[in-house]
Amino acid sequence: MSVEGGLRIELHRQEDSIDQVRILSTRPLQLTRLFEGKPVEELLRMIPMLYSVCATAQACASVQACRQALRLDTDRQAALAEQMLVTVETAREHLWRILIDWSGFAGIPIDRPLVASLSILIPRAKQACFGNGDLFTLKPVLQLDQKSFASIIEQIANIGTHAVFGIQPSAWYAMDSMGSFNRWLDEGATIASQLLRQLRDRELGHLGDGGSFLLPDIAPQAMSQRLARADADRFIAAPDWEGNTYETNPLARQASHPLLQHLNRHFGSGLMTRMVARLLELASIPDQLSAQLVGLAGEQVGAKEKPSAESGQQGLGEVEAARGRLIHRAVQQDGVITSYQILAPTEWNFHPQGVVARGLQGLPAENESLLKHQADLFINAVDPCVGYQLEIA
Amino acid sequence: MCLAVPAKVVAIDDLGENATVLLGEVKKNISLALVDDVQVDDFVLIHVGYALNKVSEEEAERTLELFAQAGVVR
Repeated sequence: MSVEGGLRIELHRQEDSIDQVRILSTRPLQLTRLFEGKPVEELLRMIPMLYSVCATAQACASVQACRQALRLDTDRQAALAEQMLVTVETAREHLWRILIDWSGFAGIPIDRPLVASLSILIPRAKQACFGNGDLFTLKPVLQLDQKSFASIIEQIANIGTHAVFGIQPSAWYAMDSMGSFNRWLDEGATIASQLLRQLRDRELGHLGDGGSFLLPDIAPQAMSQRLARADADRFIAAPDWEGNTYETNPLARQASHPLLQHLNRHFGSGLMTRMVARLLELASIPDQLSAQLVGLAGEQVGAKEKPSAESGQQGLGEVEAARGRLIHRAVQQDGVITSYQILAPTEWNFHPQGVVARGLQGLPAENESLLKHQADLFINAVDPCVGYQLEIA
Repeated sequence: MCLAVPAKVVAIDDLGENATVLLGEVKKNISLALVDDVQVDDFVLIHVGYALNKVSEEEAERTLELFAQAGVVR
């Protein structure tokens, strides 16, 4: 296993199908102990250095938790700008996965210059919101360059149009029937339409349909109490809520979209539904960012949000990162961290009895290389960022 | 956890698509698809076989020191 840890996923065959799935994790969840005894400001510098995958979402969750733990007012404009940076990161992550992983699955050569061009999105978005000032600090100073941020939104929309949807993302997001979806599959020439067409024509749309149990909203106070319990390490390693396992990802966030409800009736929670959920989320981002930009410009300068009176010396940060809901909990005493915890979406999704385990169970196992390919497709559709080793026994 | 580890680039293939990095004393092959303009001797953050972005040598050293403090690397 690598330094960053990973997952070992064992598929056990019984005759022609998988009858048992074991998921073992070596992810270094104890790393947050490192923050105990560190001043809050130092913690905020360390988080994006250590957690550099989805570093924007990690930094955002961390600063939310710390501001609350210190009972600091939050500048509403700056908090909205931080949220917009997370949304840009989500767009970049989805585009990366589609341009690289989906190209690979569909047998299409990777457009390397286009992929590399995405690396500039986050630095440009940060510059457009905060200039050369520090980001994700306790008291950030917004220096909004509206025109520059608008050009970032345009860049995301253009890449979406040309490489993913074939039409404007907003028009794609408005698609709400199986008829129009199938027409898009039949006529489309993009990476997404080609891959999904292959899946439909090979009757793989339902692959991995093991039901979907979407992580519900959980009151911050209830989550804080759960994380404060003595068995919190066990909870963080294999979370459940009131005895149930849940998934958290684009499917959980887009489930109410009419197209997904149609797809759910046809394919259950299989590959097609999951991949379209990712596309819907990506398609929604340019309009979402545009609305946020208007909101940011209209927000009263200096407006503050008071911290919850119940928080005491602890704070909870909650961010919808590209892969799912990310939670940070900080406890401080006199500006020094006494306890720090991170609950990552991976631990919900790869819970030993969670969505990946259920989806892989029952996969056809007559042909080992086909099994491996289908398992890779399903795992990628649930959570594409985690390193794993697949073992077939 | 969503960690990426700093590593030094010691070789790049002729097409500039893949690199060999040094992680401690271990050599590893990675893809350069996500980053632009990487040269031999640069430091990059790596995650599941990809270089995510370039970092300075100082930043790489500071990050590795933090991993060492946490006992993730020696």
